[in-house]
Amino acid sequence: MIEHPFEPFDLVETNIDKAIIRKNLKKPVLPIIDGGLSTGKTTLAILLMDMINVKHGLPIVDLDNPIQYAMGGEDFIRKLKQCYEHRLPVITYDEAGDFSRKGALTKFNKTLNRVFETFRAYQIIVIMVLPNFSKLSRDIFDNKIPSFLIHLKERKECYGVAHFYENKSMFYIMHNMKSDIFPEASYSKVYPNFKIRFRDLSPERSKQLDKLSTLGKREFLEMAEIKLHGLLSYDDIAMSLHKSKIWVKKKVSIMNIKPQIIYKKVKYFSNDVVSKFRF
Amino acid sequence: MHLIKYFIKLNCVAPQNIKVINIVDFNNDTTITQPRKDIVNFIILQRHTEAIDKLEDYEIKNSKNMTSGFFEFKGKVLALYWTLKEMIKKEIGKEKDKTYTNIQEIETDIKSSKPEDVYKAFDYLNSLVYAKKITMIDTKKEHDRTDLFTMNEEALGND
Repeated sequence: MIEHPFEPFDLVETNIDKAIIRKNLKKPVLPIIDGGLSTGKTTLAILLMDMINVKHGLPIVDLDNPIQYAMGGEDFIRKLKQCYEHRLPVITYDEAGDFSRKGALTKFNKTLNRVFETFRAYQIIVIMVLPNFSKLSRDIFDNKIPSFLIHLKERKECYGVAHFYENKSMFYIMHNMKSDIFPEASYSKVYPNFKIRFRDLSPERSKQLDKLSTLGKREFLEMAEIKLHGLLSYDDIAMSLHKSKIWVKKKVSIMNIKPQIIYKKVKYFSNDVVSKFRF
Repeated sequence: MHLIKYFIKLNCVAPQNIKVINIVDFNNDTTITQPRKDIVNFIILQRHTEAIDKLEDYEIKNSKNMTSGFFEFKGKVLALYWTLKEMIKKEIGKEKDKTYTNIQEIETDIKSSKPEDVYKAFDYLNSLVYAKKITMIDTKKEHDRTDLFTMNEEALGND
């Protein structure tokens, strides 16, 4: 007997089949997965990606070398290009909270908006994962890009619960959220189109995902540390001293200064380095 | 008119930009009306129901080998026919199956002494009443809510 990851399986399969047809017609397909912390958002995204990959005759998502799994907007843009080059049918944009309303006027949001307006041309399905979809930039809703919403409920011991909502319901939920004190109540006011349960990943893949997720979260922490402590890269030091990058590198090696953090192959030093070089 | 009278009483001229409207007189029943269409629809429904009731009577009596009841049924069908006559004139011959091509044929069938002919005419009238959405109640569209993309399309008004 085949063990399906979803229950009922046919409902998910029918909608995924339709999503694939739309994608092949170069129409945008953007399911959004939202839910509280530790509800299984990433797990469900991986399961859906596996299903789409298999339907295209491809192996399931490789979590050791995750081209199809991006964390944050920058990573997403980079990996979207890679997916297109490898002709992969789906990508997940996890931790999509950075594409929020608050940054509506930022260059980052504008770039992402442009990406979402054009990604359909790559014939790829983008699964967006974030804790609350209503915080997303309004532009993608105005452009009718999202396909449907999958809201995750409290995770049970060995399975997760997901509620599927059509596009119109998403707008109702978003509208309710303006007045509801408790955001979860807004979801309960709109009846979902259907509900499913999904299994956990196999222990082996679950470990891989944990590693991947922890790695991504560590990167966020490192980035936060760089910003909070005002750590400086070679370029930053060179700019503040009006010297060349090579000069700074030489000085660092002579004085044997060790970097505080290495983030994405870039060495970051504490900000007192500049004063050391000056005197 | 009431407004004009009011201004005449006050010895002044009604301003040009005031629209003179008939104000509902609650002491007079005729001013509070339902749309004519609703009343006619109701009459048709009533005649249609009465005809079916008489048909039921006739069939029950017929099963007991009693011959009475046929003329009552015929009378009711004829009443329905007269109520719908102008509508039939417009619609006759437009149907796909073309049961009747001439209004006279219907009248002849209703007045016939053969029950089959009356049944045929009543069946035609019945279809017409349905087609004109007087007895049509099965208009609710069935949605498959589990088909998310179709629901999205319908919400956008794309069929």
